[in-house]
Amino acid sequence: MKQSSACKRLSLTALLVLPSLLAGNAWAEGRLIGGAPRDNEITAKFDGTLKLWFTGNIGERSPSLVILDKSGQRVDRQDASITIGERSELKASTASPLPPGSYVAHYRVITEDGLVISGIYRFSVKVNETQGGAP
Amino acid sequence: MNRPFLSIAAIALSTCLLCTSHEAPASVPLAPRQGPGGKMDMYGCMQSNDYYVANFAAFQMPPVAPGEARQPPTAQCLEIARTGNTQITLDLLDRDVRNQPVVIRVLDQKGKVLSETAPTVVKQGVTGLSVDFPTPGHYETVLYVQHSELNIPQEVSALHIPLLVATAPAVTPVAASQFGKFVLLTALAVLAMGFALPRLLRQSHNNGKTA
Repeated sequence: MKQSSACKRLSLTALLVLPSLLAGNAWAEGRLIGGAPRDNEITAKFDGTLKLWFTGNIGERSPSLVILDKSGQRVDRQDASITIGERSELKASTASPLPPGSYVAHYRVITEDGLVISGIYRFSVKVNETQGGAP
Repeated sequence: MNRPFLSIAAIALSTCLLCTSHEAPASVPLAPRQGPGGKMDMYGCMQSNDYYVANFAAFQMPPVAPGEARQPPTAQCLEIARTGNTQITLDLLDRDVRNQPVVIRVLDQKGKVLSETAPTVVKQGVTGLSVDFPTPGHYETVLYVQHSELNIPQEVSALHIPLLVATAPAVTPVAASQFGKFVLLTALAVLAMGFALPRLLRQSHNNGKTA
């Protein structure tokens, strides 16, 4: 009798918690987890490529990464590409070494089930003092 | 601890988890739309450029024959079936765009503005306008975003969506050939059944007699 009651309680708990866990997979469907340079980073060592990493079931449909300077001029080569993997990588390169200043990027990837993950990403380039001092 | 309290706590916890887990940082795609050639697209009618992505839909009231009940309008993609009054909707799938003023314009082939919205911030993501397509032909819906963070001229980042009104063929050759295949396969199946069924029945009848 006691066992049956415990079993009932367990089933009820599972019934209540399971939908929440399943719904929690919405987070697993894709989100931005980081990048190089990091969001809002001020860097002296920008290598000419912005890389953003995403988790989830990212698809190859319509990826986009646009880099703009402070005046709204586009500074990327329009070569955004995505490499699908456990940690999918969206990247774009700049046409020339970026002069010091602040930059804003607009990114977009789309998951296999059609969810759009897009947003604004910022970084700044500062003068590399070690290089600046070199002859 | 008493049982009702535990049950209420479990329900509350479950509801909270359910609510928070649905705050995914992404837009939810709309239901499939009729795409070019009458095909359904699982992404809806997703239109994008380097800056923005939106789900497009055009709605027209279907013609009603006398004595028939009026059907609800279905979402159409870039090939719009008829001229006349059409409701156009755009689902702005970029979250950041939902905090910026947007303008939608519908233009004819010569660039004349047929319909336009005032600059509006669309918090919920879905916006639209009504337009009257006077003649069959090519038109364009344009989404302009006055994006304060990107600081880019709205003409540069504008999302242009080309439309074809009342010029799409009703039945595509692909659809026709698929229908032909279906008819042929059905005919073959009926013939096979007609051949096999009497023999099977006779065999089972004979088996019954010998037993």
